[in-house]
Amino acid sequence: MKSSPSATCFGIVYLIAVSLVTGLMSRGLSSDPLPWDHAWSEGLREEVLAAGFEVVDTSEMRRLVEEGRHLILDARSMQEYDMGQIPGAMPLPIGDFEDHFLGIAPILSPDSPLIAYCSSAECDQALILAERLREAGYPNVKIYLDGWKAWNAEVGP
Amino acid sequence: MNTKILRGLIWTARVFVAGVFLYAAWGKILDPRGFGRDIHNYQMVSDGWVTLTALFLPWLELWCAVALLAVSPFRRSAWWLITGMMVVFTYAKISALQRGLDISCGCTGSDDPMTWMGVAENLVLLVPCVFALVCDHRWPTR
Repeated sequence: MKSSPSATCFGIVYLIAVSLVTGLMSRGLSSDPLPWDHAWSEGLREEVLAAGFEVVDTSEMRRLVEEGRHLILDARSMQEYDMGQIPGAMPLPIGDFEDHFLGIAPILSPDSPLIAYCSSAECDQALILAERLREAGYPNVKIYLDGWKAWNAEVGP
Repeated sequence: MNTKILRGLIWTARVFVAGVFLYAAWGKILDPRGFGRDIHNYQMVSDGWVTLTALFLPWLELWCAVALLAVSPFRRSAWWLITGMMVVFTYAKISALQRGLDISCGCTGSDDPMTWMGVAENLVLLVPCVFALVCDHRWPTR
């Protein structure tokens, strides 16, 4: 079906308008609508806290690592994990969650104390991992938000 | 090239690209908050625009995919929009990688990390888009 340039332009405007209307309708029909004034810039920390996870800072993380009671899970890619990780951390990259989780699940119980981390306070992979673990039935997850970069800078590899 | 083969290739491009965009759109429509977080992580738009984009963009992907699959007068418009989106998405990915942002891609509503492989995938997907944008007009398919 051939179309003239003006028909193509009309089609573009039409598709954009229909998408806007359906997007707004889906928000209106949602049981948990996205607020217009949602403060995305307040950062990941607020989002982690709002999701109900406890945030661990570097000094607390160091204490927990020394204590050895928590299972520490690295949400970064295997390549990043292999370049350096927090002592005792196991890799659980979110890009390949299912495969790696099969290897970790046998040593977990529903109340196992877990800590997830990724690269830095700018990455959201630790939060995503924590949410996945909670969905899988492991709700006792803390998040070391400052991640590997802060650990490497303040404590060392 | 034989017109029949050409039309077959255009039809394949339509189905393939529409399938990718339907799959990508669905995950984002189901989780606008997660998609908004992905958009914000790119640090390219302000908060107000993040919310609007998170609500609007998945539906644009969906309707463009539908227009590609249907015998639609809007198919050429959809090819323009999809090609434009692919260019913007690819630029955003390259920009994020160059700035060293360690974020999720947010491409299909999944949690795949950002990699140069993802940029390559975008570029591969751009090939059928540009091909069909040029050819679907001259040798229209049903």
